[in-house]
Amino acid sequence: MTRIRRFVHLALAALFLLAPLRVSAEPSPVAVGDKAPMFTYRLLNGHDLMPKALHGRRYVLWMVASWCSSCESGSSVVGDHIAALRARGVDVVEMQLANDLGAPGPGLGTFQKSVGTNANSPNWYWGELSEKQTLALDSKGFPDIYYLVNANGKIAAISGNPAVTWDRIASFAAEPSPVADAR
Amino acid sequence: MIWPVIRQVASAIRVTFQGKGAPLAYGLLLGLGTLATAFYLVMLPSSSVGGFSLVALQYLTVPLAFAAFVLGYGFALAIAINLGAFSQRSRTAEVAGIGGLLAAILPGSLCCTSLVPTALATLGASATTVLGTTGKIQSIFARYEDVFILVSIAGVMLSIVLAARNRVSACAI
Repeated sequence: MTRIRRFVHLALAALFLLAPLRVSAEPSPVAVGDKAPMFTYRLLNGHDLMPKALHGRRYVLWMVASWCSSCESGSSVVGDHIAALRARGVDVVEMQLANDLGAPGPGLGTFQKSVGTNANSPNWYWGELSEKQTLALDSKGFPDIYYLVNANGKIAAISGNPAVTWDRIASFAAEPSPVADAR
Repeated sequence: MIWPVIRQVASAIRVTFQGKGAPLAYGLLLGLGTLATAFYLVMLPSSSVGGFSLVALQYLTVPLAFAAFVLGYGFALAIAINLGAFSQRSRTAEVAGIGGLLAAILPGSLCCTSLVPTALATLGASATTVLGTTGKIQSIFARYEDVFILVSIAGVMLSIVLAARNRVSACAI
C-alpha cells in the first residue's frame, strides 16, 4: 500500500515538474496590441512576400483551411470589396494553414477560382503558412481567423468569418491611414 | 412495400387532425413547425458563415430551404401524431426525430467554428496536436454536410412513420 502511495506521490511530483515545461513549449497566442509576427510568406505564385513589403501598410492577415466553407464564402465577400480595400491602402494576406490543420483540402486555388478575376488584385496575396508560422499565428487551430494589422505593425483587432464580420474590416479600412498609397 | 406505410401515415394524420385532439395537433404543427422551420432556414446554410447568424440567409439555396421545411414541419407532424397516442407514445419515434434534428445542426455548428479546437484544447491537447487533429474532425462536417442533412431528413421521416404506426395501433386498441 505504501509503495503504491509512494508511486502516486512520485508521479504527481513528476507531473508538477513537467507541467511548466509543457506550458513553456506552447506558443502564447497573438493578442490585440501585439506586434504582428513578421514572417516571409510563401505565395501560391511561387514568390515570397517579404516583411518589408508589408512594412508601414495596413493589412488583413487571414488564416484559412481550404476545406472550410465559411472561408470560401468569406473569400467571395472579400473579392466583392477588394477594389475598395485597395483604394484605402489595405492589403489582404490570405494564407492557407499548414497541412490544412491535419486534413488536406482542395487548396486555395479553388477559392481563387470561385472569386474570379478579383483574386488577381495586386493588394491580395495568396499563400501557404509553414508549420512554424501556423503555430505562431494560429496556435489554437481556428480554421477561419484574421488579424487586422495597422500601419505600425500592431494588431488592431482579431476576428473571423469575413462573410459575417465584413463591417469590422470595412471600419478598419475606413480609418485614416498614415500611408494610404494605393498599390 | 411503400404504399402500406404511406396509407398508415395518411390514416394517422386523418385521426390526429380530426376529432378532439385536432386543435392541439394544428397548434403544434403550425407553432412548433414554423419555429423549427425558421430555425433551420438559418441553421442549414450557417456553415457558409461559420456559425448561427442571420447573414446565413444570403447563402440559402432551394434544396436547403426544402430541407428546412421538411425537418421543421416533419418533426412537428411526428410530435403531433405521437402526442395523440397519449400514454402509448412511441419513445423510438421521438428519439429518431430528435436525432434527426440534431444531426442537421452538426455541420453548421462544428464545421468552421472554434468549438472543436477549443474542446480539444480543453481536453488537454497540446497546440501541435490541436493543429494536426482539428481539421480531421471539422473537415468531416464540411465535406459530408449534404450527407448529414439527408440523414436528418431520414431520421425525421422515420419518426413520422414510427409515430403513425404507433398511433394507428393505439386506435385499434
